[in-house]
Amino acid sequence: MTLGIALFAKDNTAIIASDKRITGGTTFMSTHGDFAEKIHKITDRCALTLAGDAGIGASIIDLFLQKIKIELTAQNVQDIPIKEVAEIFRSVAVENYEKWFGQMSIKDWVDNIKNEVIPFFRVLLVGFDKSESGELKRGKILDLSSHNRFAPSEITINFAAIGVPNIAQYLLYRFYKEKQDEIAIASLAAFCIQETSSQDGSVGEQFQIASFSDKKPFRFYSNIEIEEIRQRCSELKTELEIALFPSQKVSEEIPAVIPEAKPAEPQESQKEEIKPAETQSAA
Amino acid sequence: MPNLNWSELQLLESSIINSVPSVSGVYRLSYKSADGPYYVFYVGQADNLKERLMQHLNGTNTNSCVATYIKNLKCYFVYTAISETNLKKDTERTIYDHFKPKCNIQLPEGNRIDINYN
Repeated sequence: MTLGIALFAKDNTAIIASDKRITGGTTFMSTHGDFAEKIHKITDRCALTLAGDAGIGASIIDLFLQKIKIELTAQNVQDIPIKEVAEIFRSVAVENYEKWFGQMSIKDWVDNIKNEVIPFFRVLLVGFDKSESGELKRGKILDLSSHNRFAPSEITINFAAIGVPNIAQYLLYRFYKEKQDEIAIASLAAFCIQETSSQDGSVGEQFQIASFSDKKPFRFYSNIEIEEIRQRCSELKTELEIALFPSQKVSEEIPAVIPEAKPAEPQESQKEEIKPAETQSAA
Repeated sequence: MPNLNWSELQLLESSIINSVPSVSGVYRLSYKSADGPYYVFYVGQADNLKERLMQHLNGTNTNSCVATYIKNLKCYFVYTAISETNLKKDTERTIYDHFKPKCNIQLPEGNRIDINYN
């Protein structure tokens, strides 16, 4: 299985994250090597991540990306609205499912997916729709699943998870805040993947992240950025683990008259002050 | 004001701890955050600094909070050799007050004094 997450940060920044393990499908199954690229750039303003049968998924995505290329060329544009992207995906997926597995009534289709007669496969699309001014500014996440014949299902909140979503959904509902910095949101997505991986071997610990916005084009995070996020996750995990440990607390001595509140001074906290010569040895 | 001779900030790993002298002193433990600074999470005193640091690293005779930091994060230490008992206690208390480390469960004995931290 997989854990794929799409969510929005401040400045209309879309973030898409996924683990890199393949455990389902017919092509390559392993829990020992996390090599799979499950995030696909569609345009500079749209991307997807997939879960389910990786082999069928890869085949469909190849055909879909070819179709997108043709569409962009035909329209002579760089980007198209996410709803158009979703419609192209649906038509490619349904056309090829029917070509490969035969024409089916909707009932047979649903039963066949449910009974694993035909492969299950699902994508999260994240991108932008046209605003009232006609610009691609309205961030959206769409869920397209073989379960419902790839009908685009619009996510009405600013995050979504597919694959093995239970732990991620809890963490996202608990910690996600709208309009947070990109680094915080990307770290939360990575934390969801790492925590799920720690409980479920079908989700890998290795992850990839990409981001884009209505102003900044699609890009994958570099290895250095991934390492920084990994460190943030370790810190968060540590903070959560120690939160319930007993600690020294100093009680307030309440004065007879409580003075009026003053603006808070920036806290110097617990920073280690390093001698200049020490920085190198510590790195 | 006593002039304490603090060591450089060093990685908490056995090959480095091996070069710490087996003497009495005060130490503090920190980790490097993703944001850059090193945050102090524990301060302590020991009759044998090398042995005490090794105990922290091995998770023996160390509290759960310290053990969790050391297990999850790359950690660092700084120490200063102090033989005089009262100065050792006062230094531990003073650096505790300065860094407010999360993993010190008990308020250290001793009094706040004027010291250098590096």
